[in-house]
Amino acid sequence: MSSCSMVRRHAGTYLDGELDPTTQLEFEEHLDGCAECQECVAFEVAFRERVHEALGDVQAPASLKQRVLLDLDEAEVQHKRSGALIRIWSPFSKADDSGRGRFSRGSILAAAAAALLLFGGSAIGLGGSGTAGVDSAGLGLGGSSLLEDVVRLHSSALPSDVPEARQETVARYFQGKVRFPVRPMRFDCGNVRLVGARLSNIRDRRAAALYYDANGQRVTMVVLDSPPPALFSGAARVLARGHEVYYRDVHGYTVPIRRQHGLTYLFTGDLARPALLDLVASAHVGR
Amino acid sequence: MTQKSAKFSDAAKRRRDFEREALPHLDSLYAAALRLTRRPSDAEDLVQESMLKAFRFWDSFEAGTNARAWLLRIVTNTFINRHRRKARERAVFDGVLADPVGEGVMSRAAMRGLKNADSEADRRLLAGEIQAAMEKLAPQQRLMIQLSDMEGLTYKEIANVVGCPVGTVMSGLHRARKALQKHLIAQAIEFGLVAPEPSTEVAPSPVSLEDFRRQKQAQS
Ligand SMILES: [Zn+2]
Repeated sequence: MSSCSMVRRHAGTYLDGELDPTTQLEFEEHLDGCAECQECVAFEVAFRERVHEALGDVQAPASLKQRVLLDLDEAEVQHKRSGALIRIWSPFSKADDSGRGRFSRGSILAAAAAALLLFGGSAIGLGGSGTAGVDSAGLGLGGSSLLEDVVRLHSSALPSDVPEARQETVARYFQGKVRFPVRPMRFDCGNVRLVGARLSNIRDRRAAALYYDANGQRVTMVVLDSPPPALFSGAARVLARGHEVYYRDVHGYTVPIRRQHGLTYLFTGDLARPALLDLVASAHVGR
Repeated sequence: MTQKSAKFSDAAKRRRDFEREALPHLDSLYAAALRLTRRPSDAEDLVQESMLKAFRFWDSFEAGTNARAWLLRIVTNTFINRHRRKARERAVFDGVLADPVGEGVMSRAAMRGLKNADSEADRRLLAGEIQAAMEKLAPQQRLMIQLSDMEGLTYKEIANVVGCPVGTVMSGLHRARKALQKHLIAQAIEFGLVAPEPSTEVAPSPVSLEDFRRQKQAQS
């Protein structure tokens, strides 16, 4: 019986399952024949249940997740600015003519002419060759990092923050997170569904990112309240469905830009440019 | 172009992997941080700082290993480093553990009293007392309780998170639990849940498992 004190002293380790197998067996043998030690072990078990109750299941506040995500955005931007991702890329280089791969959007634009009526203007991109300003967005000129952030956000395909992608849920999700009301866009073309939303850092400011599925292809829409003034200068301009649509090319992605009710909407997606521009032209704030 | 898109998608993949592997542990990390700092706002800051660190060092995480334990270690190290900067708190993680705690062999009456005190009101009372008693423990002890009782980590994993030998985890947990029980008994007596009765049994040596084994061998 001298092992009573031993069993009691190490009852915790026994319950943790951390005794070596031999000792564990000896403890069990002892417990079989010792009611007092059994009671001690039972007490330890009950005590742990109380501790469990007292400490409860702690949940991190939702705001913490947001803070972490924004930190990650920021860290990526810094990483990029420190040089890791900076390079100059022309959408018109030979390598891109394959028309394959997610970065190869530049070469499929000829077909756009049928769907879109061109405006005059200095930077019409639909001709497809070397138009001034078309890729300036990737070269560190005004508004560029902003567009790069939009493209990065889209190409990262980060998970949605909302459990269900209903218009009201998404609108409510952004309340208090961004300084402006976010109303998901609706599209009068094809089969376009809202599939998710995420709070993001676009450049230094918070923006709402909405994810859409357009006939099986991803489209990301970013809503901002105050874009840099340089955003439109040098952008290509087309008329589609009676709307003026501006767009710029960034890293092979077409980024159409719309303004509505004082907010700026930036789009990008895995669609060919004509389809994307048509889709954007059909967009309106939902009712 | 090819190089660019490779880098671009590498960064995207890294970010996705990190979100998939690390974010689900946010509750665990926050709970551990709360044990360490005791204040919700400090705990949030600690987790935020730790997650950023984890993201920066994500490449050094071995895929397939226990991400939660890896992240918990970063939280713990970040906490220690923060407090080390304040020189006076050099002993954040040392010292207090050495406080002697009796073997804590309590009377059967006390054990029964506590075990039977399980009306809704009693439970609430005891939960409050456990929380209060936790406050008095050293951060390392609170963390060990959290990791063992709430997170279900093994001693070895806890040792890895805390940065101490496995034996220290075993004795640390023992002391922490006995300290909680001691406090609980004292409070239970005060509230009349348990009749005051002096603990009669005093643990004789040996208390180390090695001695115990040696003794058993001598007997057989
Ligand atoms: Zn016994």
